[in-house]
Amino acid sequence: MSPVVIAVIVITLLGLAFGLILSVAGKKLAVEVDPRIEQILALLPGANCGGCGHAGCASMADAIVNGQEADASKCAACAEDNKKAIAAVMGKAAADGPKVRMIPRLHCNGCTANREKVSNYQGIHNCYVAAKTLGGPGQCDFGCFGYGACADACTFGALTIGDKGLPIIDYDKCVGCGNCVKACPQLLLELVDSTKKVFLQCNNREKGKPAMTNCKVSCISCGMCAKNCPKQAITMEDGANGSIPVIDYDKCVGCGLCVSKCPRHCLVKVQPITADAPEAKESKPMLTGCEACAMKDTCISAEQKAADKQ
Amino acid sequence: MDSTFGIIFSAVFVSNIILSQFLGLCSFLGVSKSFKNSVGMCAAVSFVMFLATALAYGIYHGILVPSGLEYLKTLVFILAIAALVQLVEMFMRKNMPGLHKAMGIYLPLITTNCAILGVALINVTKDYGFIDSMANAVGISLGYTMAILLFSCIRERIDESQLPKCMRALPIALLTASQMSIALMGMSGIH
Amino acid sequence: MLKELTKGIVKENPLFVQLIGVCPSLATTSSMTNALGMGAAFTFVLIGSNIVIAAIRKFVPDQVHIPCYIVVIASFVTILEMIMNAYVPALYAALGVFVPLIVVNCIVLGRAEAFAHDHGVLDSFEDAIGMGIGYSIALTAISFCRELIGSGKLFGNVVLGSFYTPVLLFIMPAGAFITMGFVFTLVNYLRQRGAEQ
Repeated sequence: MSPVVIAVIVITLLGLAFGLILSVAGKKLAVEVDPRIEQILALLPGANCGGCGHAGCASMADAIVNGQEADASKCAACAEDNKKAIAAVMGKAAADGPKVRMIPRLHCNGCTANREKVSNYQGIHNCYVAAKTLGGPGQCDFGCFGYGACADACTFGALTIGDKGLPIIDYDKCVGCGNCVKACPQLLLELVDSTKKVFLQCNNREKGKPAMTNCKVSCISCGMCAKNCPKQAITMEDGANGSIPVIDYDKCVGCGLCVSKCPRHCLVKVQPITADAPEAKESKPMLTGCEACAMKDTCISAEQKAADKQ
Repeated sequence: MDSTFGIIFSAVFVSNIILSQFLGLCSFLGVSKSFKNSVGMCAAVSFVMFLATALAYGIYHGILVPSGLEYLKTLVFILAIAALVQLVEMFMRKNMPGLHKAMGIYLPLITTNCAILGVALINVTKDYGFIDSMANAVGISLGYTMAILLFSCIRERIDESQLPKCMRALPIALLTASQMSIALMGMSGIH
Repeated sequence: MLKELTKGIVKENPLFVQLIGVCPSLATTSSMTNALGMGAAFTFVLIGSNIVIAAIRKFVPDQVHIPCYIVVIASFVTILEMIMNAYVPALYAALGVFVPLIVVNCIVLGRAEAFAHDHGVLDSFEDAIGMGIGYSIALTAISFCRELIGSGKLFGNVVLGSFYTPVLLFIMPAGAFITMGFVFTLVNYLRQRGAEQ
């Protein structure tokens, strides 16, 4: 037989063999997907923030259907109605979630105006690196660097670093997922009740003279706040070289006596946030496809797509 | 040089698949931005390379040589590799979901990876037997793993530093790769 | 009409602007003869595959279009291999495994997928010529630097006299990375300047 005919026959047979194997495998190895996963995924906010501890909303939906999670109560960004609907999909009644809105606040007021600058740091501007190498911004070992680990962690765009070098939280965008709290290496952010009116803007655990030279508005561990609180809501937590007041918000009524007694003005009155948490729809999109590509900044197709959109 | 150990050693150090032979560069430069992605990628590449080399060897010596169709090896190899990757992905999704979550997304990227097709073709050009072909595949995937893991560690650090704007991302990555390549030049001449 | 032809040379140069096809541009640019040979071979495959794919695109079902395109490209590469082996065996031996690897070259499959899939035969033909010329120019530019600095020769003829000690590093793999790194730095710089203006 002529070589051309042999070639055609062999290639055709090979092609048919591959095609057959693939189509058989496609049927036999088909994965059955539980339809409840799709339903629950539609009810979850879809922001993939990771606040629940799972790697995205799809993973959470998987966990709920598998029984790993009892319901969607771990999702801070999920609306109450949706949580009840998810419980209904799984055939259960949902427990009533917390009615009070939790918001993050920063235990630091050591902005560039208030703190002593010690060195001209030229290293990598990353909160984790600075925490390991410098220990603290300026002279205070406990304060905020302002390099934005919290802002990066927020998938809802609620945190930005302001002009003074401290994060500014936009409570119209914050859903209370707690990612920023987990991200701060100095442990400065804390989720507190949004209706409370008093807050400690310091994390300094030294006392007396060293604390005073660290920052203009640092806590010097004098304990006046704890002594004067009529509800005994403040306790002084001891550190190695000093202490820091901790407010028990279950007892605090917001009278503001501690604020007036504080000689350093680090205990302050804050504006309570009365608005409800926003719907968790607006968020930084999860990076997929072109957005995740290493060549994204220089790709001509991406530029063209953007130009076509305009 | 033609001993089996010599093949593995030379594939990892002397003629490293990426730093010396330039195969598999697109995935190397793209995926190495983060260490975690690199681990997934090199696991996927090693796995596919092993299977693809075996399959290519079988098809070449079992079908193409007896029917005198060696000139069609490029076409047949690439089709076989594409079909293999598709099959592996389906199998993994069904039977090994944990593994699929870890490295499943890299599998479609590997179909057109020069390294896989390159290894299959090199084995034919150098006329290796079965054991030597598999040794070549093992050595090349070890070389790929070593290069991409080291490179991603360095790259994660470099990407944080304040370089001039025109040098960021790709140019500095290439210059880093050149330093690694120079380091491996010290191994040339060992056979 | 000329727009399709010329865009591949400067505006959408596959190597410098789109950043695809990096593997062969590092491996085959150690001498200008190799680079031009690779550029010509690549252009041949690109033209052939673009024309055929544009011609058959309406008859290929969507689910299997990638394997079909790969078969077309592989066929052209096989034809190319045979022609090169017969007429320019020295070049074929020098380019080695990179001739059959044109099959998985990102540019060829990329242009087939992005352009020939949606445009007519004549447009695809011009696009192929433009991309081919652009890629050849890119390869030539890189190999010019490498061969001149690395061996003091151009096209195998000694250009820089005996006073010049060649920097052998540049014709080795490490030199390829260094040259490409600086070439891309220059490209980025020019693009940023162009974007600012």
